[in-house]
Amino acid sequence: MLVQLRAGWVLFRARVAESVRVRSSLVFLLGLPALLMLSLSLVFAEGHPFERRRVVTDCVDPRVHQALNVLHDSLAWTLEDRAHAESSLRTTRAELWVRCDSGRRVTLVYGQRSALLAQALTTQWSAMTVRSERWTLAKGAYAQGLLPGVIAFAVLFSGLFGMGPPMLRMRRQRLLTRLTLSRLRWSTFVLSQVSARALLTTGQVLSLTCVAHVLVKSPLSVGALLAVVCVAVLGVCVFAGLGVMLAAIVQHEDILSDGIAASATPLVLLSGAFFSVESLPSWLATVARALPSTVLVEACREALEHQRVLPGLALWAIAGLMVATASTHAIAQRHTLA
Amino acid sequence: MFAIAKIAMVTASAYAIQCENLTVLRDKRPVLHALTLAVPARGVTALLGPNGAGKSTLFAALLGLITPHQGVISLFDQPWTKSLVRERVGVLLQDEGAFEAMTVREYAALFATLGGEPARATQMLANAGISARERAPLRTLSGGELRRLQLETAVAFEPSLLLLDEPTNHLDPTARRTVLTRIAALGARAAVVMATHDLAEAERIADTVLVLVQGRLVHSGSARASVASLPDHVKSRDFHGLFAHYAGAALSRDGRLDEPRSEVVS
Repeated sequence: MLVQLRAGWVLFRARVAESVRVRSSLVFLLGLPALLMLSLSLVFAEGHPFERRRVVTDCVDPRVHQALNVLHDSLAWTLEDRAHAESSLRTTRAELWVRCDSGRRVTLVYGQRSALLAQALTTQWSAMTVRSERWTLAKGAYAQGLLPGVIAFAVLFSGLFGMGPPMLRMRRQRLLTRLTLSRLRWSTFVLSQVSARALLTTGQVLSLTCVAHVLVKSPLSVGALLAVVCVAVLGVCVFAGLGVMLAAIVQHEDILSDGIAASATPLVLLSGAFFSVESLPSWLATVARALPSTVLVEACREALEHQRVLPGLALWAIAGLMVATASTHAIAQRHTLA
Repeated sequence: MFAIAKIAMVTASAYAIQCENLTVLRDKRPVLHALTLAVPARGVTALLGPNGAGKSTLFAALLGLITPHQGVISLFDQPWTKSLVRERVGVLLQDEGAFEAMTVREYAALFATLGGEPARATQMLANAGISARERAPLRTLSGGELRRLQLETAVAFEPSLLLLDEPTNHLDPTARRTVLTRIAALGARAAVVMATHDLAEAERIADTVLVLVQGRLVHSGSARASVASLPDHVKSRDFHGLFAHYAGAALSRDGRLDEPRSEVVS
């Protein structure tokens, strides 16, 4: 019994020592809970995002904007084109759509929970010709609204976990050193690895989209599928770069998962997948819009609902590939024979 | 015309490697001390030394994986460059892994392609004696089979210099013999430097021996003459005795010299 305890103690100490030996690993390990709390406190700094109703409008009439600004404390509003405004309402990302019809007439299209809000606004905006219209939400509308986020996170985690840990494993097995000494270019190597990952992720994303179509009746078309595939490939490039960069910083396979979790937490929370970026404090919303995860969620939404690929994601993908190549080189260089 | 000039230059090189005053530091402590040595352009050179002697560090410096603190390295009478290493140096790393999901043929084809001759993969498998297993995943190969295959990948582009870091480590006697025979054959057309602990291996296939102890070159010379000059008790299997003999000092079991003396470079 004592022998077992002693052996167990030695193994325990070795495992702990192995994990905390690298300083950057320790920072990730101890910093993760703090980072999680920091992310939550920033996101919910002004209360729960759902406390402020989200309103979309396609009206360019300044009177409408003024009227919405008066209610700034209780609602967050954004100007969108008609198609986007409708899809925001349909997927419950917005609760009210202030629609401008012909003849300067304003229609308040409201969801189930916003009947009182619509009624109040109709009374308050008596200076304008306002009428209200009830929007009947399809079953599964909220799940439909979440689908772009779910696809985006499949891509995000595929890029992060599919590239970072394998690079560290290949370094441990001296394969990266071996390739350093060959005529292979790092860009070729990285492209081959990212392409393989992208192929797998494409299958995963297509499966997700089709299952969502069957279960929650999300709209599906060949155009949407093609656009989603493009977004998945570009998204993997973006997050492969981040995954390999973290591997280059952390250096330790055990701690890399903590590093990835620490990075993914704020990316997921601020991405606009679960609640609108506009619901965040204004300065944080500006930060959130610049994050690659937010761009990816938005790109997934555009692909599914409007069969388009956002060009901004392609720029992120190029940056991701460059970072992946430089980081792979750095990982390989750090390893020596002796 | 340029190609002919290059061949003439290669032929004219007397030495594959020349190091002068090479010092490598690790954590501010010298791992190689002002090393001066030369490796002939043909034949097998055995780099002998106990663990921690600096054999792998010397390879790392030659390959550009670490930057020497001071000293000069020349390859084939030319100043060391990264491209020279990539074009003319083949390498087999100590405990080198493999892409386990690949098949034997895919692995050979990868290095044959990088060597510029994709069709060479078949010959590589034949040389390694594993043609019959070309469709097997690499993870199913025995240690000896994998090592033979890795040796072939190292020579896929017919390098002029081959650095082999303990190529027979963890191999059974039969596999060891096969690998050594192949290395001896390679030595007939290129410079081969083989790091090893084993005097018997060096005696069997090496033309030249270099003995490193604690980062110092303590002996260099022809393999046959070096072994012949050893006292009988040193020729035994006790390699600590061998290295202590060359270093001229007692050597503890972990390979450290009790009283390091100044370099003896013949």
